[in-house]
Amino acid sequence: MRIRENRVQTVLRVDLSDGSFSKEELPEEWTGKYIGARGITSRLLYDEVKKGTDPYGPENILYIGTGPLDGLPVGMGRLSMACKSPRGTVAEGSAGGFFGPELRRAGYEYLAIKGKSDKPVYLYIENDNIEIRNASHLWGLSTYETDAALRFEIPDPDAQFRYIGPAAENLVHAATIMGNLNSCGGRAGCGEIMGSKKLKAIVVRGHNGIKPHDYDAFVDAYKVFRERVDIKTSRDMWTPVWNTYGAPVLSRLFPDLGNLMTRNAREMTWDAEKAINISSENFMDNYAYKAKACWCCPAPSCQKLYSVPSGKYKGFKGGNYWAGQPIALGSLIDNGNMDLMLVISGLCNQYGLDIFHIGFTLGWAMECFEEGILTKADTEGMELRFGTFDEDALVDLIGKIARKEGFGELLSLGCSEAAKRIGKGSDRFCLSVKGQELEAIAERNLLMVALGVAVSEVGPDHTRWYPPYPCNPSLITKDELSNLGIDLDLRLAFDTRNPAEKGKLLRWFTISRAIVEALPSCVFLVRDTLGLDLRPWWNLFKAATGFDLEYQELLKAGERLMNLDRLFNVREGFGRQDDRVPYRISHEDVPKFGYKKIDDNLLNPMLDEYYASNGWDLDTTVPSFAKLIELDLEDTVEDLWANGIKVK
Amino acid sequence: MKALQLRYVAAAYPITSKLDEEFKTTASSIQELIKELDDVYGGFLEMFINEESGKLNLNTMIYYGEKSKVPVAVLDIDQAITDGARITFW
Amino acid sequence: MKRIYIIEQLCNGCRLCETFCSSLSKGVFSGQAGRIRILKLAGEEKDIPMVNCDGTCIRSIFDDRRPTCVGLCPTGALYFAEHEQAVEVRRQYEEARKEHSIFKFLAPWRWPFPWRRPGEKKARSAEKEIE
Repeated sequence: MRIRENRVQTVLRVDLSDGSFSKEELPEEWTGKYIGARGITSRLLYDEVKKGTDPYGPENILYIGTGPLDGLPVGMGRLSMACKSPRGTVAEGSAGGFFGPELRRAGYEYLAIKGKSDKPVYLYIENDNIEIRNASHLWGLSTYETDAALRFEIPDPDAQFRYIGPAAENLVHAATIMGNLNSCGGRAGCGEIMGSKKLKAIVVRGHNGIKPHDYDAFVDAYKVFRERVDIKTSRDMWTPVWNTYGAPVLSRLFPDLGNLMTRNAREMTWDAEKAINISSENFMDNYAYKAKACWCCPAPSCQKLYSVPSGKYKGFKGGNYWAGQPIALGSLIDNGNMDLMLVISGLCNQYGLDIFHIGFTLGWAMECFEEGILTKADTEGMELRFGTFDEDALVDLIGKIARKEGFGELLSLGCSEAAKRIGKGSDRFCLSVKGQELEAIAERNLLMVALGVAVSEVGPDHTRWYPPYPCNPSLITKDELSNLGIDLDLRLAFDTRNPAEKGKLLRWFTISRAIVEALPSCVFLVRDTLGLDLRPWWNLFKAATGFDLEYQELLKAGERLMNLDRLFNVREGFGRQDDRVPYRISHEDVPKFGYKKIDDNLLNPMLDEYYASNGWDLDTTVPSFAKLIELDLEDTVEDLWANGIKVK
Repeated sequence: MKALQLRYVAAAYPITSKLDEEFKTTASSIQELIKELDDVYGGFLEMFINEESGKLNLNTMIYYGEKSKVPVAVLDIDQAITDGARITFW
Repeated sequence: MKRIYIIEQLCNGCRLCETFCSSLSKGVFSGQAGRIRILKLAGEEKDIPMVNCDGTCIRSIFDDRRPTCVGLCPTGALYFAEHEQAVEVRRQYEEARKEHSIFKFLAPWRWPFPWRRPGEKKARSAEKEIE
């Protein structure tokens, strides 16, 4: 057994076109400059996937990786994925589970997979032994079946897998990469790219040990970390809830606040009875039977496995019921039937489909049907109205979407492309930005969310910042804030309907989240100071790697990675004109609650503040020359000029 | 007597074993209401009021909605309550 | 004599116990090289801790001689007790499960919130925790 330290990170490069592979050690200073996980995959993506690369072609590279803190008990098994999205933007996602530590134990931090195979294959990695094996017997299997088949073929119970389902094989929009049955990530395009390369699965097994640079310092820092994330001492109101009941409690809180997107966001509140039906409390009482956790997580029951106890779907099993489902598969399509929702959610996991794609595309289709834009002729006879639909037909439809059959073929495009095909003004009902569907959080009440959804480089992704759920700004004192060098007026920033300070708040949240994901560690645990104080994580990083990094250097690393993502997009031709909100959000008020539409008058000042605080040009959103120098990214300037991007 | 609509979400649910209820009370402020609920259910006081400071705990939340108005977060323990209000505890 | 007992229904498979135990002798996190390991069966359906030691850590990371694994377990699936106490704890757990659904996922003595749990008659002062 070799002992691995955490200073030098290794990439395993695999070319599926000719079956070759090689190992590369990254420069040691990259660990201090880019940290790891998302930080390094962003850098590699920028350097190696050139402008204009065909996303489905052999030159697109899929990066899957973890960072120096994984394999140690604070990494939480986080895994980062990145590639170029079929939408043209950067595609970045992350997932949990148990794959990350095993990859590190095998001797690698990153996999860089390029090329394309003509036949289905899977990648087998066991320490130094790399094989590309035939996967035609796995192609077409659901994720659960793939997991079982791989377990049979590789009878080592500690081997870890990541795989795609039939949806990604068929290049369905927003398909995901799955693992450990219910852990998923990469909805921005990583699943589709893995499917386009005909890579069905990745298997990893490692036998090395991971050694922190200073074990005693690490253990001390770990104990401080455990205290900070302990529910008993947490100052944040969401931590106790998230770690036990889970996020679906939102379905009971949001309707009162006008935060719940209902019937394709036509309304923002819902019937209390339906909300109780799909609530966390009902789920915990009647459906959930076992808590599941990611690797080394201190939260007792973040995720749970469930089983439907009675009725038509009795015995259906699944897992990971979180914030997205009650909204995307519940209020958005006016479905108050918990059994049906859990079945659809479970099927999405089994096919490798993204629930936001399914929910928002169904919502779009239902509104089109009610407006007469889609008829029974288009829907193969299915009556598609909010709250009124044939449950069995809907369950079948999910399979059709994964296989691109019949009416499912239109829906498999995602609502943005489907609206382009149908025309007739159906794009007004499409809730998407940059071709990617929205997520669970409402915009017109929470202005920072509207801004975040508009500027996010991968399309709407609340995991690039922290949702500013109504929270108590007195959580963090003025002194603490100035100690951390953060210049924000907290009261204004958390005044959710005031556009002031939103750009700066979003900037801080994005940097903070970028750092936590680069280490990597789990973001559900940083809420104690609203994600503004990362010193416990900084201490863990120093003890693990031995890098004597200043705290401000760590913050810079987060900002660096935020800029690299923006540079990739800018190089591909994206600019301020693409940072928009969906049509409904910018054209319709919410009269019952008095929330205003986010039109240009409201959005433009927020965009200006965000770009200005980041040091980006207000028209082109290109980071300024001064900013790139500040972040030690001046080596990108030549490349940008060569690609026609003017850096000022 | 005021008639209030009370709702219990997430961590408040194990304490009351109820999701919501109609509650009649003579309490005139949030603090008095919490004390009354503590007599009935036990645990309310500890959950919402910080022993040392006497103020509301930071890691729990109360939403107060006057009849047919959008609820707002309660930040002041002496906030008045009116008849027909809808209060969510979590 | 105290030893480590398990309540396997509570294990969520996080592997904190196994990971830390593997590091105690040499300061290297080496997966399953410790004296407790989690057996995963039937996909993700079952996580079973298998203890192969008497509860004396080579060096516990907690000062008060609690076994490291027991101190770290987030749900309370592991506990360190004498035989009679262990049986009593098991009985208490089975009762608590019927009391409220949240105890399907964490042990009553690991009630995570700073306020008293349902059924306790007085306010919490000292932690009457089972180690």
